[in-house]
Amino acid sequence: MSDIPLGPAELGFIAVYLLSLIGIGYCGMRARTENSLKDFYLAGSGVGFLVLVLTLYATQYSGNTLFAFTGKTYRIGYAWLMSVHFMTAIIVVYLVFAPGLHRLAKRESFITPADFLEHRFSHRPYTVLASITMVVAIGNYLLAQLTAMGLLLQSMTTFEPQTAFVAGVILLAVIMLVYETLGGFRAVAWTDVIQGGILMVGFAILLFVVLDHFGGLAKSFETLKEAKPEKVAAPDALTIRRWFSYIVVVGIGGALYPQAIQRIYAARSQRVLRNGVAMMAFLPLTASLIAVFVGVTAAASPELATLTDADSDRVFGEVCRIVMAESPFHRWLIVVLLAAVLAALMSTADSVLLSVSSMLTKDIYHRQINPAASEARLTLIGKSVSWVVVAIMAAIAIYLNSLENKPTLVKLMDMKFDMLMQLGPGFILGMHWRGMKPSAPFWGLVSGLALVFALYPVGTLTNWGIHAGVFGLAFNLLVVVALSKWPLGQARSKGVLET
Amino acid sequence: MTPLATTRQTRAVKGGHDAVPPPNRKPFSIPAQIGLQPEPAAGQSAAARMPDPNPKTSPLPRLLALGFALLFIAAVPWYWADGGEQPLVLGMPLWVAVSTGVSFLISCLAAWAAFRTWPSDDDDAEGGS
Repeated sequence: MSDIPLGPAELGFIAVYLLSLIGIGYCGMRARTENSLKDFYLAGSGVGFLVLVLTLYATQYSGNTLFAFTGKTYRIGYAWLMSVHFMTAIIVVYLVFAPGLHRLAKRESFITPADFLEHRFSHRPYTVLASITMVVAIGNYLLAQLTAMGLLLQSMTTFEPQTAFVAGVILLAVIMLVYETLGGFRAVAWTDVIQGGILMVGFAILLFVVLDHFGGLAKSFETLKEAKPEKVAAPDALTIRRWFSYIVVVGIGGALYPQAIQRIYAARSQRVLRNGVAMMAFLPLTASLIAVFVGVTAAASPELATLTDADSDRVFGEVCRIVMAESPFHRWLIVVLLAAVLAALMSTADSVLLSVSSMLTKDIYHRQINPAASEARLTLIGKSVSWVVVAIMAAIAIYLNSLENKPTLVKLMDMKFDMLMQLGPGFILGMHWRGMKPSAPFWGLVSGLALVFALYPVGTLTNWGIHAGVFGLAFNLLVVVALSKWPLGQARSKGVLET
Repeated sequence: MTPLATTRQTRAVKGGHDAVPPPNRKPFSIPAQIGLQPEPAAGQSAAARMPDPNPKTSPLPRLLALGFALLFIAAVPWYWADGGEQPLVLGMPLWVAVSTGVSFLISCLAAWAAFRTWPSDDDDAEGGS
């Protein structure tokens, strides 16, 4: 991240914004109707249309959309338009399973994603393995968000970098924990309304300032056509294969984000969810597409010509630094934009944290360790788990940042979708296929994950442009279908589902 | 008895996930894996575990799946063998404009499918304050 040091007034603006989040957490606590897991993790009877749309938006579009998407476009050009398609694919996948899932969730009072799996299959190893898969996949995502928060605050201040990073991680993590502990899902969703709103404004500001300062898309095209024609040309065969692969992997994996599934549960009614999903279908055109335009414009700019492809994650910061030097007005626009980035990071991190905490509390502690625990005790445990998880993740983030050779998290970040999509047969197929046997998705998940982990070190197939998760899912589905059609120990399992 | 009370009662019978420990669920233990499949609770048939016990058959989902598949295939710019950059549309190369336009059509179809196929007759029963 580039250095964008802010003055006292601008830092004051950011501080007011952060303090307002704690105020919202307090309001969330006041609105609590009962001391139960359902109230803490799903806001009781649920949320309405506006809150649902903005919380889904703020959760799905993280700081990654601004940093990584602009950087990736800077590197590969217009081909990153695939991000618009894979974000839209998530919504299409929702259409397949969200209506049924929501109906069941209301009927059966689901809290965690694994509650559905337990209800549908009653196969405890599958429920536990699915929960662990989700915790591992998004736990790493939480680590990345905390790291990005530290880097952002580091870039905004003039303190010694490592001190600023540590202070940034701790300060933002504590603020997040305070409002989440106070108000649970209600606080997270309400802060998401603010954060999602700021993020939408931020994207609009970004498009405006970038096109205004660097010139329009036509000018960028002419420059790139001369200097880097591959960035405006139609993509090659390898990129096309990767494009299709991304649509499948992110479309299925992104729809199975546990925090997104819990938002499906939390929608107040079918109508609220339906309207929210219909609205979400258009949002990639207002977020990912803008990031692509900014990346292309930056790639054409002579002011950013010194950045190498390896530095591409700094593109967004450099754009901010250049634009804010133009006038006090531009400077304040960038301050709002930085608040939007902070909002994007925090809204994603708090949703992930709440989801991890709910799964550890409900799926592991309640189901496996203490089934007799009261609702009040479980809620207390859930809050404590949040603090412990953040403490561990913050410590890891600080440790990794202090290393001389910082390890890259990119590969693990990519694996998140490869892992999550292996839950597709259970959630999506299980929603519609009555004949699916209880043990089939468990062995499918085991096989799919094993293949994903086996393919990563090899890299040959993935270098061909297809994600390991796609091969894993194909194998997973094969196992699920085979075991459902020709179940092992047929006589024993026959009575389970087909009674 | 209110409709909500009926729901609660049904859930208790099914061994839901509330404070009362579910009697038909056993903790996970590896050595006993073969016996892990819990016995079915009373009345918990395959149909009861599905969101819609009596699904209606309609050709619309298949047509929608076909429509989405075709649109995604059209959205990926595999068919621009040579060039495809001129003329510029709103400053974008032609292939980008076409791909973005098809993406907009996918969004429209998704929104239409949500309104056309999504059941909403049980809104009031499921809602709350």
